[in-house]
Amino acid sequence: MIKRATIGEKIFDSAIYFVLAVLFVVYFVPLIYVVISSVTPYSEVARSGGLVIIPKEITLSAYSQIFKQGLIPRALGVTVFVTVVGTSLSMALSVLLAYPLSKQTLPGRKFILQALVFTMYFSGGLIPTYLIVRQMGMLNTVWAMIIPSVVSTYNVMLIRNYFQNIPAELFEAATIDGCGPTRSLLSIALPLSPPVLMTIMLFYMVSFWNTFYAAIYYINDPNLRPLQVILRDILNSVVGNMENVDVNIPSMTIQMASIVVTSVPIILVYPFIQKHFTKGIMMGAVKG
Amino acid sequence: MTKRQKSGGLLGRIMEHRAYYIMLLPGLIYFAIFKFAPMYGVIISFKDFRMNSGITNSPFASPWYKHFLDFFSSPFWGELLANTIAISMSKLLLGTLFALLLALILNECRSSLLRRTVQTITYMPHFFSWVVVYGIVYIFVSENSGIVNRFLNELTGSTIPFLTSPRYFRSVLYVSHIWKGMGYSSIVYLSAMASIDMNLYEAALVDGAGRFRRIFHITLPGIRSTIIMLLILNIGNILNAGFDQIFVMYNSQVYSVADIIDTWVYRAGLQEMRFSLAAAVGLFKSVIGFIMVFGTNKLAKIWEEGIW
Repeated sequence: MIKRATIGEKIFDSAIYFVLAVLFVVYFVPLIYVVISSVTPYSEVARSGGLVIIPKEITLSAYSQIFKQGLIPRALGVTVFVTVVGTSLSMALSVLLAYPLSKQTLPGRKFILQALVFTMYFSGGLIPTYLIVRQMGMLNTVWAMIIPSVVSTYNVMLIRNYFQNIPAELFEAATIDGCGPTRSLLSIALPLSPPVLMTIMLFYMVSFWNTFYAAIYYINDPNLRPLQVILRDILNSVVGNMENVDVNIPSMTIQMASIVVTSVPIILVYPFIQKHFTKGIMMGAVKG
Repeated sequence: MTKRQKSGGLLGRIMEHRAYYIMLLPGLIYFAIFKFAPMYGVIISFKDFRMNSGITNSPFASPWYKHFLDFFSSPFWGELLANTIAISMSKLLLGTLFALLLALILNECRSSLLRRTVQTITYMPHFFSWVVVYGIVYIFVSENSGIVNRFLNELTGSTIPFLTSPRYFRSVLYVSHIWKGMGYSSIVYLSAMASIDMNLYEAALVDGAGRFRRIFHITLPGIRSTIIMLLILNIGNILNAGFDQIFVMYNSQVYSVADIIDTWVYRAGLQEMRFSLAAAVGLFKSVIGFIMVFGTNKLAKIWEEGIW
């Protein structure tokens, strides 16, 4: 092995560091800019014509403003409900599908699997799905944002693959000791699968928190609009001058504060997601 | 156990597994209602759908392919298809290129602190909703208050309507697509690189190969099959140009370059209530999409067997 770095190597390394530093800026600046402009007082924004790099003082008035009026708190409530109830239902249904389908001996297993996989390749499309949701009486209910997308076939397959890799001897031993299928699921399969379950739970959580399209399709009631829809309206100034908004707070500051409120939970769970998702992706890649 | 299985036959085996079927039941009901019933619901593409009569009782259109005829004889279908394919192909190629470059650079980086920092921050936007990303795009390029336009205004006295001009809108789509997805897409390439045999690199080093040579002769050939596999599989999704992103960002001024099949189906169906026409277009897309995905999956399998 040659240890000494040549001049060419050094230039190469510096170029790599430079590109990565530029990349860091390209990602970091927009994020931090949103946060900074959400806490910059109006006086400073006015003085500098809107461009504030580092504010001399910070204010949380935009936040107290958006929480004082009903719009965002109500939307936050809807989104939290959808996320908590949706994730719980998704996990329960996905595990209950994945576990039986991981049993090689189950009669009809192959047929059910093929039917599920088929739904990944072909769908009835938006309009027929809308009509079914309508027929189920779910339009303008919070359930329209949860039930129509409660199970992801892909996630079911990931959990099933994981269950299948648990040594069969464990289940056989449990059966001999008198464990039924339910006990086996609860006390063998689930306790052995935290990595995959955590990954998939986080994926479901993120997708429910980001609920937007289901609300666009199925919800007309302004009281049931989730956070993402409200954020879109605030950005497009549909609700720009909301009731009782303090005119001393520029609309851009309100917009930035709304972006922060909408994305903070993602940032909070992100460290947990990051720990797991590489594994999640590779699980999918290996078994397709 | 085995004895009972033999004597019990299929019915006996099913009875034995009854607890498993009960577990499956809620999930299967979900699939029946929300996945398979809509597949039956596509029948309204051949009917004149009336809300009062419902899917089953609405009368058939005459001729039964009326709505397809309407769509294919209308002036917009060519534009919709062209936009859809142009946008999704560009996103696929640009997305792959940037993810690949990022993976290469991260792979060559010798400072693990810098590498991990950049990984952490580039993976993050994948988890933001498109609305949040739109918010960030908006503060940079909106015509009235965007930072870029403020600078342009100071410097040149004019602004560029990035979000409302057909000339620039697609660039905004592509740049935001790359910004949001590049980090996450690079993961697959990075782990493909991690599985390349280290001995190859050491042998190349002994032979005096520099960094560029090692990239071009070891790293890239080592992940070539991964790149081609992913390209093949993604071509199957060519009719999905990204409803999520476009719906949040577009406006009527840029329909000529940004309206895709999915956004049109939404507007025609759920806003203008032309359910049958919209369902017909949706069915056209589903069928072509199915053939494409099925075909590319077959192709990917052939490719996979060809190299291993």
